[in-house]
Amino acid sequence: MSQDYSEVLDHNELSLLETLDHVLNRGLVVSGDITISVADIDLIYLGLNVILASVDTINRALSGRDDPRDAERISGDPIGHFTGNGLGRD
Amino acid sequence: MTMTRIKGKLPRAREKKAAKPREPSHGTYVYCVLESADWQIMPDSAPEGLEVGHRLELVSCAELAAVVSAVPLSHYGEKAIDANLANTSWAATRAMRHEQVVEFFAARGPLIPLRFGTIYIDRNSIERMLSSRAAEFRSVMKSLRGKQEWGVLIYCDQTALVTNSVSKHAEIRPLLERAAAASPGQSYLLAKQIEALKAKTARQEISAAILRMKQALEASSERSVSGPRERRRNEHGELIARLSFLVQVRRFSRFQATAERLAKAYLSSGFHIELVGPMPPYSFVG
Repeated sequence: MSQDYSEVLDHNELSLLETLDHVLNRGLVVSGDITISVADIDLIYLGLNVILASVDTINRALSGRDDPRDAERISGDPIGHFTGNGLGRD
Repeated sequence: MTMTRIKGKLPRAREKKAAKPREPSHGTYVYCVLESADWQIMPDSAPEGLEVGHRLELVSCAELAAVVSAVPLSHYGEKAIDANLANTSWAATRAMRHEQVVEFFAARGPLIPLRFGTIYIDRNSIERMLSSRAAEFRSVMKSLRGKQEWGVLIYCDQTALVTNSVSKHAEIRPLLERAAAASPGQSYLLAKQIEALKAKTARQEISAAILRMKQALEASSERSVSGPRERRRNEHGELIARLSFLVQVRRFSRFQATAERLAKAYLSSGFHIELVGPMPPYSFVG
């Protein structure tokens, strides 16, 4: 067989979606002495299609952190807008 | 659904009509817990925190250090946080910043990643958390030393599975041959029977394939967990399993070779494997 299996197996490609799933749904949940926790909030409503739709927005926001306007955006205004299914992969 | 909890040490009012205690302006967000011997000071190369202008700091206690940064309660307090989390790009951007911080430290030594969204009112309560759970943290960190988490996503193209594998099944082939030679009335009933049997066989083949792949990958890793199923598909088909493995860094090439071997072996049956990582060990900290 002459097929290039590097295409079959995409290693080393950290998918944004999978990363978000780990950050939002896994990791240590500290209870007890904690004062404010948003860890228990059901983050399911960050519907995965919606997250996919926002990949560009997230990447822009992450790469543009030296942009002085970033501070403005963070202190109140939303970074982007969603229109439901938006730019989903399908 | 929302569980914003306020507990613990609220200043006790001395008189019944005492003024309400003043709300602090900032909370302390915790990203991860490290061994403080490795981290006396915050390096200049460390990423920024969740919010611009609030740098990362260390809160040390009991030979452990928590990586923290201040977050304004005007955005992270009980009232504001729900609205902000409902704004997907706000939440996802913060989640990725959390990840950037954890990844920075995970690349430099053992740590315990916290789930997104853990905020303390002050540093004292973080110190208490570190000291009260010190033994547990140290034992988890010891078990994670020199290891990384790798995700394995398995997709299945059911059309390919049915065409290339299920239809060749010993039970189904004779039925297909009979259907080809049958009268229209008989062939309708046979077709129904065949479809049901194909669906059942496909389900069995998928379960068996997931189990065999998981066992093969477990042989070159330390621990594994199965993630929740979730409806997702891409050009390779439907996501049928999400597995996480804790892999020793020095044994990764073996783990990768196993994954590649499985990808080749299962390709013709319609399966596709994606390897995601390395990730901080989110799935192996409790």
